[in-house]
Amino acid sequence: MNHHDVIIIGSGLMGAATALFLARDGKKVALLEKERAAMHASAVNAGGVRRINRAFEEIPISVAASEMWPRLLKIVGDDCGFHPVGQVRIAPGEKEFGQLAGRVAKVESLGFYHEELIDAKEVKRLVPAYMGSCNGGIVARSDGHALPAKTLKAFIRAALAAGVELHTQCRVSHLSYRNKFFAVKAADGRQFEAEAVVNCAGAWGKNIAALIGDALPLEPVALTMMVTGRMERFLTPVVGIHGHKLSFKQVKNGSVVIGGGHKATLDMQTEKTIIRVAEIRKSSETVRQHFPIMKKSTIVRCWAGIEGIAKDGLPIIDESPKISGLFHVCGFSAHGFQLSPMVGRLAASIAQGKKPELSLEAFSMNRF
Amino acid sequence: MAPVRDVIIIGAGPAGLSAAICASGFGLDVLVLDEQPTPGGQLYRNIERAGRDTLQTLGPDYSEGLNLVQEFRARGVDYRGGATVWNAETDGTVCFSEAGQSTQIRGKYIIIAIGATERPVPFNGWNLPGVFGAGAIDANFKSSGTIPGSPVVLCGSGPLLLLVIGHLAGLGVEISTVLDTTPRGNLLAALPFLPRALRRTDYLLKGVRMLANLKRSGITHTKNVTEYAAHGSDCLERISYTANGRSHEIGSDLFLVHEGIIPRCDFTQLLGLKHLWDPVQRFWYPKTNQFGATANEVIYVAGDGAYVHGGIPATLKGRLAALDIAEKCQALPPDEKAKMIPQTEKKLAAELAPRPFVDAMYKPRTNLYQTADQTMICRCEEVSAGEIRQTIAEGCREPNEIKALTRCGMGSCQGRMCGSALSEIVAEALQLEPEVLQPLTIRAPVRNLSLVELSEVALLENSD
Repeated sequence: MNHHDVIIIGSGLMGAATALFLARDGKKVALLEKERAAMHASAVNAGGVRRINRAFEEIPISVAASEMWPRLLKIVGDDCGFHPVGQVRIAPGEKEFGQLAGRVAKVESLGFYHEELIDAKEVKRLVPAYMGSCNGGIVARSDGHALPAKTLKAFIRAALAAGVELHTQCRVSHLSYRNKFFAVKAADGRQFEAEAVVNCAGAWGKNIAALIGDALPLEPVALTMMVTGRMERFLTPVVGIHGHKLSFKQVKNGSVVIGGGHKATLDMQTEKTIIRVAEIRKSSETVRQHFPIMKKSTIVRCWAGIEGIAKDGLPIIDESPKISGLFHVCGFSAHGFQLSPMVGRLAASIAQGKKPELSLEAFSMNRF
Repeated sequence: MAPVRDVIIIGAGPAGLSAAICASGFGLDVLVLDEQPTPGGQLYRNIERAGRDTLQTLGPDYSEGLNLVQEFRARGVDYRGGATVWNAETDGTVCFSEAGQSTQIRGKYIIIAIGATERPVPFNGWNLPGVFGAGAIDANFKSSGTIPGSPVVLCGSGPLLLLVIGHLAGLGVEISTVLDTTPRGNLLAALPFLPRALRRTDYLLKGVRMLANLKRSGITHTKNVTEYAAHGSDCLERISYTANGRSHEIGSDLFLVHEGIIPRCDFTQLLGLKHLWDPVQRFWYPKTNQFGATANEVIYVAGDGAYVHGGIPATLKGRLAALDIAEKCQALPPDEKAKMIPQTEKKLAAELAPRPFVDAMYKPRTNLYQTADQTMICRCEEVSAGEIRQTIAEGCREPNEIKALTRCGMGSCQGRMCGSALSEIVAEALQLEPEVLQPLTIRAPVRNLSLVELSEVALLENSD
């Protein structure tokens, strides 16, 4: 029997970050991965690093994480391709501008000042290529984007250097608790034992929880991204349009990466995703409407990552109500990338029975 | 256009044309979609417009395609030239682009007959202007009648290389030298297959004749070439190579390289079908039964896309797929099919008799992918072999993981140029066979597509 202080299931960003901070606290950690790292959401998401337009409950974690992003070179030995180019959310009409203004007031009332209300002129200055209607918008100037695969690799490398044991091709099939110890078995027969288990299995989090009788209200969903060939630089910040399914950015090599939550077909048996033509058609319609410069672009590639979407769109970061020592850290609902360095710290705290630096009440399981 | 057809055939080469002729003969509603403006595929490219001189120069291997194309035309099959298919789904739904407009359509059955492509093999300087695939130059001549105006150096191995040498020599192109990379031991390894190959002396004699012509022509034929590279600042100026262990250098501004051909698997991979690895020819090919049927009952693969066998076998494979589909569509009674299949299979077996000999004779050299670290593997995203090896040294095990980290295979060709090399580099570094690795994931659109066109795709009514 392979004994550890903590077993973490899932070597995505949440798992890798949690493992890293636990190991740095001197814990003996096993990180179990069903295939290999970098297969799904953590490595293939759009790479948005944003505090802007977060659910209010997530803002404290997001702001704390934003302190970490510019310091990742120090924290994990890699800058993770982070570019603080800013994120803008455009209000296409008066109604949307009103909503965003109300939002900024609420954010400020909570004591946070990263979201700034701007007028149409400032939107035009920041996003000159935008040709849709505009009543202003909001900006978070030090938000930006990073490289997901590079980020995940850096966290895993740092975790390994801190002493974490990574077991790949280790698909957990049994999870049980007896005499203060968790026994974890993989489909190939490998066995592990620990005092605590952290479920960081993302879109598979529900299945892992079900092994021990916990029900997580979360569903796997595949979301589509499109990428164009290289274009002359016309866009600096990451752009969203309030009320539209669009996230839009031009990355370092000149390609434009287009997201916005358009679904792909997901086969959870084979764990494969299939692009839906009707969805990418809709996405490209939105893009050409608002950014006429994109009429000369060419789509060279689409992809879709598998995400775990929680019923209310908020993550679950909590101890199991049934079994103490079991923690669920999943359901980041397609916006966990930016949060992950901070979530790693918080999850590492609760897994050691310590009080977390920030309140996790909003992410409890009993909210459902 | 009717939104649902009995059979949609992708590709109008030997396999696609033959399948179309056969299927339409049973009254099936057939649609043929092909990238090229006229039917014929790579082998019979532009054959309808070829003049007598061209037919003579390219010989019977080319001219025999004329009958096939004429028969196809006479059938009046719904044929769309210049139609690029960019998506295929497991239920037979296909998207294609024609004259800047995309349409979604569905086939009760799909025959993928997109043939083979020259194996892309990276070497130093392969991305320099002036370096081409030998087959690409041949295709260019068939399409537009243009031939290289300056002396060329040909390099590589395989029956197609000999064919191209013959064509170019016949056209009066000056060939300064032929650098032959066929490994020295191949002939010996191929000998056990010779008796079977001798059943088709016509085929073998063709090869012998090509070699004899090469010898007679006085063209320098350098054998046992194990390495080569192209050099130049903005375009090709010099070629360096190693033959029999000694290094040489020659000046040239045209370098035509050919290291064999491999099935085009992008659609079958997009569809998530099972592929098999051929350890001799070192390529992937889709798993099919004797009719070209895949595990998905809607999808068939015919011709060189199913396995590289050449033109005549491709027509027979196209016919077998069409016969099977005709039976499933109840256009051909099972007992009649049972009578027709053995004839076609017998012909196919006869055609394939020399293949084991030829495949062993032109088995790729073992150092094909032992590229120097500075060699560019992904030309679209400019990723070198060294960068790939670095990520492997850091613990990466899968081509798709390396793709995510280095951008190798993320560019506009979706890994068509670098995919094989990437797998081979990983396999070599980890001392395994590429067959245990997952090839690069392919997703729609399989061909680059303008955003405007995508936003205006004419969708099938019931599409989600």
